[in-house]
Amino acid sequence: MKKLLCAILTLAMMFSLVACGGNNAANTGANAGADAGADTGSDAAVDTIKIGVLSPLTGNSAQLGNQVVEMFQLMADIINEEHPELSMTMAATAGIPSMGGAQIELVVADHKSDATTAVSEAKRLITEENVVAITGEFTSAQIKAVAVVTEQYGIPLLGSGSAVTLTDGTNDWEWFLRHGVTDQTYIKDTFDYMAYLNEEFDAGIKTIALISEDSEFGANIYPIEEKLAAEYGFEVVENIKYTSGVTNLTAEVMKVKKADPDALLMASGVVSDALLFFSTCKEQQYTPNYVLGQRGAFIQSDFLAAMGEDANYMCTSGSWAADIDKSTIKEMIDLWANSEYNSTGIALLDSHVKDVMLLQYLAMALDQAGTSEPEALREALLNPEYDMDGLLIEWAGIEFNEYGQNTKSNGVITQRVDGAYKTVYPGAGASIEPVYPIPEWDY
Amino acid sequence: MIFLQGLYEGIINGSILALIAMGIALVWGVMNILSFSQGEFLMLGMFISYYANKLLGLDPILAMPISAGIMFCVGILIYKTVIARALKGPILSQRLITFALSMVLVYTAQLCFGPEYKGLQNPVIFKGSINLGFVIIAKEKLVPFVLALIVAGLMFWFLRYTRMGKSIQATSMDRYAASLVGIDPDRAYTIAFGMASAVAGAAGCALTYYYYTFPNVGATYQLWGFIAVAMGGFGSITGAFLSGLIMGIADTLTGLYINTAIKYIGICVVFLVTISFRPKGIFGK
Repeated sequence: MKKLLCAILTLAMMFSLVACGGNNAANTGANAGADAGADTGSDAAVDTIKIGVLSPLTGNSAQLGNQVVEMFQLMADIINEEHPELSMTMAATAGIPSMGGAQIELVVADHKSDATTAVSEAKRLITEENVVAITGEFTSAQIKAVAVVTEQYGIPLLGSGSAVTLTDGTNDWEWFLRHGVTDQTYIKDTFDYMAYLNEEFDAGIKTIALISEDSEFGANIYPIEEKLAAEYGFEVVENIKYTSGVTNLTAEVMKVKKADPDALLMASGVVSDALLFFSTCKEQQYTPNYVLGQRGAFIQSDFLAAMGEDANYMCTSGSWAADIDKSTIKEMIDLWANSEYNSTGIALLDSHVKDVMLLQYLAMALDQAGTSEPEALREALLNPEYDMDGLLIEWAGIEFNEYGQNTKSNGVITQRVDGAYKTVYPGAGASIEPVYPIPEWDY
Repeated sequence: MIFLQGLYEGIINGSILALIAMGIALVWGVMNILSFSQGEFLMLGMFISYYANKLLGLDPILAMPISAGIMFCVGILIYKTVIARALKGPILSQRLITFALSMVLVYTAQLCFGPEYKGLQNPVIFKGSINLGFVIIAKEKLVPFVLALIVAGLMFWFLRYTRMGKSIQATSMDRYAASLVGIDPDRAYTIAFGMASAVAGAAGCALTYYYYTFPNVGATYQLWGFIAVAMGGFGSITGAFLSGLIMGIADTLTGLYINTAIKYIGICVVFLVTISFRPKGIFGK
């Protein structure tokens, strides 16, 4: 009997090993498609180009990480196959045209939302898998860790972490490029939006409360918020920092409730924290007057799904919205909705698109360079000659400064209405009028 | 009013820590093993509650006996196949075996149930808040508190007044002496480990009322469970229960009156002071 039980438990353990290696299974799935395409490629010497995709496939951000990888798989297919009907850059032709139709091969690795793992996996991708560039889903802290490796080996690193310190000259990095905006821009958009609400819609926002997790993400955000609050004339009635991954946020909610600010600015990257905060608000019979999130949990599908209707009327800063009038956005929404890779059936969010666009951009640069040689690839990434209309994000353009920051990127503020984020700011691109304040929740 | 609310919330928050800690204390007290997998048993209890609600429409309180029963069996299975063998090995293996087990359980849960955060989908009995004027009582958070009281009472009664409970206590005092008087130590260990798993299973159900279920949820609570056990005195169920509540109060009041950023320092200061005066914990011997 004991032997039988042992055998059962051993099977369970093997089962969990399969789970640990699940990312690798996903990896081979992505590669299989690419390899199949590679067999029909015209240039045997460069039939595949390996791109490292580092993403949290396990751990606290696993849901987002897996979704991003699925989107990368879809984008790799778009690049590798002919799609003349699509207006997206790199879709019309199969593979990388200037490299004989070479196929993109994704090599997926799990960084488990852990900087140390991210470093070891980045090294493995470069030295064992021979990837020509690394991208994926990273926080700013993880980018800082991985950048040390990519600088050492001279490999381009593209990530959408938003900490100002990534591209303000603090780090002397040659190989990291950021296409998206920084926290400074996202937060300024948020304050511009509050001023706009006061001016155009007589919202009467005078007091604000800041709540930020104590990670690099939160620590980068609240000093900018404090500075801008003083500049814009908003009174900060509470400035709360909390430890991420908490068992309760009771004291935090009680403080916010007591201060009752006109707007609550929240920087929470961990979904369970944000969910716990708002469920505690409901327990305390408190509906915040207005919630302005700084991306993080606010653009993650499991937060939105778990919040349900209570997520309505919450706002977030971001780079992308589904209602932006752009053909590539409409195409991607449609492709994703019908994609075999979309295992969870979720709608596209800013958190996915800002990452997957980086693969599209890498393919563009490879085509421009005509080689995967690192220096040439970096040069093409820095000085794109492509028309930017075919990208998935609507930016004024791409022009990098000396620190690898795109100076032409811009953000939007969206508000969740009827279960979807809709653009409310800048006013010219708004698809709906903002709703202020949040209607009281049912307790 | 805000102090009363803070005090009440602290007790409520501490009750989940107390439930985790009581399971750890039982395993430590009887078997001298630090159960690193107690948080993962809580996680499994949460998944049982979640799926009972999703698939059968069961309220977590109704799923509680099912979860406790399943986790009792899981605990026995794990004891028989893993722990009992490790007990024959070096002391380090005994200590680390539950750590390895916790990793297995987390990744298996991720494979089977997915990594996303899951909230209850069907209506539950305990939902909403009662505003008494001087304190707001969230009905869903009353469940873990009442459960903690019941579990503490039941454990106390079981260990003190039942034959099996006395056998477990005797085994924890001296395994070899107990076997000399006809007690089967292996049976006592099996029941103790099963009971600890069952408590975590029931606690997991209570937690689903207001917390979200995901594979890594156990780690969030586990560390504080250990501190509660150390503060209460290793092996003391009563100590674990009281320490959990004290930690909850320290957490909430520090956040409320000093700074939320350092509220865990409040817990650690209480722990350090306790250990300074009572090195073996409040009820440690």
